[in-house]
Amino acid sequence: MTGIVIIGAGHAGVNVAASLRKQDADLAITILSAEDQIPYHRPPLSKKAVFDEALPIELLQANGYYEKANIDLRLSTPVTSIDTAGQTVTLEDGTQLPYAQLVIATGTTLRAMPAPGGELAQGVYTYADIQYLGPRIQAANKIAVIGGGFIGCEVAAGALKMGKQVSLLITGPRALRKAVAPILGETVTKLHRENGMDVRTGCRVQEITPQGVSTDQGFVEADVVITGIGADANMQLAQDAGLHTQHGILVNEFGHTSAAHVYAVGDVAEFPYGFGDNKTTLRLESIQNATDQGAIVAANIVAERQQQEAKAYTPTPWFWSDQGDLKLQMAGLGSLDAEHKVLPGNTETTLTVVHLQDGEMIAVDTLNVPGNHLAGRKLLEMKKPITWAMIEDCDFDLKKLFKQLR
Amino acid sequence: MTQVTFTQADGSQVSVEANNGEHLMKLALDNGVEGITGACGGSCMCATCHVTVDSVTGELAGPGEMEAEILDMEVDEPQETSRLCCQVFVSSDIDSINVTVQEG
Repeated sequence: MTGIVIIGAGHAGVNVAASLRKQDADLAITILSAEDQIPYHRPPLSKKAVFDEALPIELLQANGYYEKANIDLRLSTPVTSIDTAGQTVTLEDGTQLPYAQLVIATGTTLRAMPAPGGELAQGVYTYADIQYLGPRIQAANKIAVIGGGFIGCEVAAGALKMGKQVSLLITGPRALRKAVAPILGETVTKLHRENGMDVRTGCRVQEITPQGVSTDQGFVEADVVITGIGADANMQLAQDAGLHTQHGILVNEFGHTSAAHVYAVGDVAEFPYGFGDNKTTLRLESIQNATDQGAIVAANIVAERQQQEAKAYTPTPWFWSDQGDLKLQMAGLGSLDAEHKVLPGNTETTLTVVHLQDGEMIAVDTLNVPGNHLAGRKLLEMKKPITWAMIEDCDFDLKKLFKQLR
Repeated sequence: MTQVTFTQADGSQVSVEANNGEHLMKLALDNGVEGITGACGGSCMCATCHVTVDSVTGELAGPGEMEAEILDMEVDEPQETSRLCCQVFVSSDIDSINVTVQEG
């Protein structure tokens, strides 16, 4: 029986391979990576690595793991097409690789800056990106960052901490507008400003030049311009192969795509989430998703091969973002439409916000309160209804509530 | 240089010399220590690098707030010597350290 082919060597793809190897010592596993680096962790790139002169790289698996685990990792090997009927993938040099099961873990591509001169701005996604950006940031005095999402805020805060003069240009009314509860976004915006960051909200970029960024709020001088304006799923291969896609490659709760024996996992996969009226499909760009969905898909590949029942992926999402000295941690999937209630007992730099939908807790956002994040995560993982009254009854102590319900 | 020894679940040991500033999770991954996953890449967000510290020659700083919370909430039976080894850094204050790999 032919083996498993995994397209993409990010966190999700490598995790599928490693999980498969743990379950089956003999399975033939091939990972095809378009990048030329041994697979590495992406989150540290924008949080710390790009600001460190040494440009440290954190490998997902030790050098030598792939040989030892008998995983055929092929770097600099882009895939040009997938034939789901013939069960083969074609590589750039024309080689055809057969598969019994295929895993698409192609991740995302950063959105390019649409304004004139957009090519002068650099995003942070790959190790090659920080190899380019790192020395330029070191040498720069003034840095402009376009985009107030996690990556933009992380890069801006990290550069500020290095002592650079930093402008953060945001089209919305505050940082992290879509990602966290409004009060947390406002607090983070305020704290970055107090630290000396020039945060410009409601700011439209008109043009990028070698001297800086021209905006509707005037010209922002910059030696380096960095963008963090989101990413789109790498699903062209899947679309060309006739797989169903929307914002990502559509999969069911087991990770199956619309083609037999083909799975999608990680940032590129759009999966069913929620129950009843709140049922939707979504794509998550997170380590939690890459790790947990990867483990489920690996288990379901083994199940398919042994004709056993597949397991459903029903995650409790969580995220984190390190912005200078601010540690943001989000448990559950928050919503701007939810009711947002702040737990009492905050200092200038701490905050815990509970998202309530139809009276029940759906997410907890925290700033510099790791205990509440973890307690929130554990409470949500129980998948029991948690109301504000229950939180109140526990003196707003989420950990106490968790220990009571456990 | 600090001598770091990992005892794996099967009782076998991996012993390595480490430089100042390196954390034990990275050392474990680089040297193929079984049972250390490090899913979050050393960001102190998961509990897949749980060890117990058997002995230290020298001075080792205790766990920080986040690490202590994770050990309390994520680890089923944390022990007094439990640590997340991504938060255990080698320094000139430590001559040697012996740890045992624990279940996440």
